[in-house]
Amino acid sequence: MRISTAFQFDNYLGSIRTAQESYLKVQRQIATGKKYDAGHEDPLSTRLTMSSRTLKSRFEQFDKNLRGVKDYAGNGEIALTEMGDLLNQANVLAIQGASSTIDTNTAQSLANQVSDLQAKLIRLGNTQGSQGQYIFAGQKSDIKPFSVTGTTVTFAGDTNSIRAEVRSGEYMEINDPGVSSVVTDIYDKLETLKSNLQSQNVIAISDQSLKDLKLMKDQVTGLRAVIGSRMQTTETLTNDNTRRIDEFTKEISDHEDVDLAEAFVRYSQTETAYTAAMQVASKGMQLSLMDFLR
Amino acid sequence: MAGPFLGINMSSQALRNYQRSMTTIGNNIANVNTRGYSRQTVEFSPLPQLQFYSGNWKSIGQGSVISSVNRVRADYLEASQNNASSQYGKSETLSTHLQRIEGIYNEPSDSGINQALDRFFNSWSGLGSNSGDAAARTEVRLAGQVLTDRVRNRHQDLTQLASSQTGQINNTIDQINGLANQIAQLNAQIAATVGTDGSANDLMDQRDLAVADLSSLVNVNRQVFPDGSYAIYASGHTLVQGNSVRPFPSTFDAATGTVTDGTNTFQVKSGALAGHLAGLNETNIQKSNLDQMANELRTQVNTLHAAGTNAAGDTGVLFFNDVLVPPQTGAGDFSLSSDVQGDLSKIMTGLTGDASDGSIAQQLGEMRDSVQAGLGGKSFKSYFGDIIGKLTSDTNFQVNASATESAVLDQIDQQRQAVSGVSLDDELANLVKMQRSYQAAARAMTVFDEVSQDLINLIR
Repeated sequence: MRISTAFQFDNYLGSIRTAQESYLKVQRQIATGKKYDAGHEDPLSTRLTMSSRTLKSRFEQFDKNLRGVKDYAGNGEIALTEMGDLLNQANVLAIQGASSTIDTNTAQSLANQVSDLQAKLIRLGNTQGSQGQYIFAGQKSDIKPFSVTGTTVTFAGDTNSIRAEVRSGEYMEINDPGVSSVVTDIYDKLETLKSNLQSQNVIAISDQSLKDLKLMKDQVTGLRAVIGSRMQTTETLTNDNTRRIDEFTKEISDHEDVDLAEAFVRYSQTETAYTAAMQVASKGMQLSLMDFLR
Repeated sequence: MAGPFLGINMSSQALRNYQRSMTTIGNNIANVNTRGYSRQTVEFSPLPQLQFYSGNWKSIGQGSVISSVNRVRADYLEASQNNASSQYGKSETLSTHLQRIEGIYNEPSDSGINQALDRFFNSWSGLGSNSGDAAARTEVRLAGQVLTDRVRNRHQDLTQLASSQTGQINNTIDQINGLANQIAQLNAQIAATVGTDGSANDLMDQRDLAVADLSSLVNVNRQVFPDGSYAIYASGHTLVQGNSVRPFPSTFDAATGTVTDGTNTFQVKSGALAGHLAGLNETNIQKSNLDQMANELRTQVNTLHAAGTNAAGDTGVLFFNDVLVPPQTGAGDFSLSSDVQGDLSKIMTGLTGDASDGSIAQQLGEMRDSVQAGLGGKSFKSYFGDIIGKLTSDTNFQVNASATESAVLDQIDQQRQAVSGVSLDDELANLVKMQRSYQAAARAMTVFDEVSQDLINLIR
């Protein structure tokens, strides 16, 4: 076949360009660490990466949502523990008051201590979370839930539950609506204890108040158990999230990132091809019949 | 009877022939880099023989004459090259347009709509799970801002692209008309030259080059008339006939890939024009995709959001800006409502207005997976994912197609060049051949000269 001069040179340039393109592509892959620049170079990976990214960001959000759960549970746990301690102290005071040998002054002093405990109880009932929200106020978390007028306690919150999304469309209750009634009950029982102490009604203290305090203690313990199990669930979910996020990160990397070892091998391959193309061209370009005519 | 100076005449004719031959070779060498040039060859033929009687009738040759100067051309290759160049023109142009659209979307990345949609729905899930948190509220507004900005900006970029594509289509039609005028003029010149028995090789090269250039712009059919003039049909429209031109229709419809002159509609099948039309069509499709998504986001998010109550007792607050009655305005002015823009507390989290009522926010978070009738039964995420999936697949197909067609074009070009391309080595060899022939003819002339001198000297 005749080879025209223009074609010969086009051909040299074409093979140099092809070799140069693959050489630069590998270079770019190594420099950026990515398999491709534009989606069309690998449409399937693009689609898969997009959904992996979506799922990853979703689990990252669930993980953030769990932080709210931990905030409520942690603060709730502390408040309930203190309520338990408070009941123990009340129990000690009640036992002292149940003794028939105490005098009026002592009884009054015991009653005053019960008053302090009541004030502390209200403080605990008004426990705030890390963002200043009242954790025992139900959904009305921006309103101070417990206040005292005379001898009665008023609850301004509600008993609605607050839920956090922990899996797509799955929710977990994060507050403890049961606490509000328990706080009110404890307050009332302490009020009774206080008046029994003031009136030195030893029988009522030992028959009723001690029993009441025991009952309250059980309820507080029950609530703590609920929080404890919630914290455990949260822990499991957090671990699960971390695992899933790692999985998605790996998936995204599998789709997007270049295998460096393989890339370096291809780098030297394409470099060889590029050099070869240029060498062939430079040799071929020099050849001309002119050099042999004289 | 041969005259005494026959040999001298014959030799001088030969010298002229070889000189012209060498000039032609020189011309070939000079045009080695001329686009569309076909190498020319000089054909010799013997002059009529001279008869003489020497016992019986015999004849001797009287030398040679240049019978023609031909351009070497393979017509069938030219037609297939023009066809391949049309195909390549389309896929190359279209793949460039598709890559630009892909560049506008820039997926997958942390700055695309996909990420903004994720962030938007996640921020609602976050607010729903912790609705008393001011930071979660800010995040919702920020995520909404980012989402609307990105959808709006992409739409704006696409609008700009569409107008530049329209400009390119008009340019291409201008180029087609320019080439048509050129071909018509060349038709006239060639007819005039051929009519006066001249050779119009260079003009024909120019005309074929114009047809080849035209083929890369639009699908072309060529008809050759006995007088050597061409009729050119572009996409079925009679563009050139003899020396008259009918301008290419300038009214186009990108959706169907057609042009119309008012009475007839022509399908543009290939060439850069077809690529531009398909590119503009794709841009318009993407714009309406974004419009549809923006409108659906408005409707769905606003409906839920308006049902909410905030702490101040406000209800019916829209999250995204919207006109009160349809029609909605698409992606072009997709933005947050001025309420939400101006006041964080106007973001609704629940039905009651209580600080930790996150029921509305939770539903908005769950919207990421819920299918929308307005999006053909797809969720927002899968709707957008499918847009990108289809776009990247289409682009991939066109990029590959254009690479394949480029290879086909190269191959045909190689075959065509094998016939009509100038090879310097060939020309040099021929040049040497002609030089030697010239030297020999000159030598022969010297001999004839000496012989005739001898003859003259005889008569004294």
